[in-house]
Amino acid sequence: MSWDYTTWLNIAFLLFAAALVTRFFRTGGLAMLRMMGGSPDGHEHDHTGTHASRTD
Amino acid sequence: MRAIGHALVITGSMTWAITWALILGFALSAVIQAVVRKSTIARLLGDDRPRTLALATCFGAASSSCSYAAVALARALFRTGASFTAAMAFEIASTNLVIELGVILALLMGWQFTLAEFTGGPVMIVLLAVLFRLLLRERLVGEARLQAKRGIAGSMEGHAAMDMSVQRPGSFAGRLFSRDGYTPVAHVFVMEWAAIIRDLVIGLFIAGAIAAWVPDQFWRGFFVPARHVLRGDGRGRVRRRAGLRRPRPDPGPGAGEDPPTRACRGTTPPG
Repeated sequence: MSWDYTTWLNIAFLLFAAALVTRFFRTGGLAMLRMMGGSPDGHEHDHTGTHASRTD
Repeated sequence: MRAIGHALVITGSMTWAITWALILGFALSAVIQAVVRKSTIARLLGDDRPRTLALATCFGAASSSCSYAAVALARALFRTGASFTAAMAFEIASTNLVIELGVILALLMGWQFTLAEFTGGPVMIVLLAVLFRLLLRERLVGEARLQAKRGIAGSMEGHAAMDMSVQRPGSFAGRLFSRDGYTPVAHVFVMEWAAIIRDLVIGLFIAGAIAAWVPDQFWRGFFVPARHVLRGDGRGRVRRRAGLRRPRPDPGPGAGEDPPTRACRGTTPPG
């Protein structure tokens, strides 16, 4: 691995992705992942409520 | 064992080359999905005028690149009032005008392939719109609506049904940079990765195996087996000529290899 522009970009974007993933799991994302492949019934409004109540 | 190791090394190299581009593409898509509500999209896609289809194309390009979710989402839009043609344009754009794929194509194969992706997608949508205008009858649309309303669950239906967008009013930037903006972006970002990660990993392993195990000669023969010359001969016939090759100047290192291999060897031409 050489320290070219790809390396620096990967480090920067991996840190950015890690921040998003951390936020995802800290705000109820795991439950969302579980229902990803399930039935659409009753899901539509659950997550908007989650966003409203879990911001800091 | 050595051959497997070689394939894994190439897979790793390709993964390393595209990681930042994938994250950037998914992040851009997540930002748009987090700020634009699905109800807004359905409201704007109510007819099949050219402007509406252009909007459907833009929304589709910015939406989920998971094809299962794209189909489910197009159906949801159709059920909630979008025109059938606009919903289909949205679906085609979702899977053929993919931001992250465009960035990866530019990195691994050259900007010409990205241009081809973003040119071919709209061409497909225009053809679809013309064909629908000529062939689609109201009765068929009615039958499609009935079928859509049955709500038969397919793959990723739950993903498509989630509206993770910021609900507060305001401008695009206002909602994105609000206190509520960061969480929906994170949710959409991870959900998009979760939807396609399996296909992505399988694709990278297959690409690595192909790059490592299939000799370059095969690709030369596969992609340039013959030069097809389309030439009208005055009688409306198209003549196909094979085997005509001009002597070429030395193409330089890496020429003739498949693009992923070239990229992994660091000989991809800039741009």
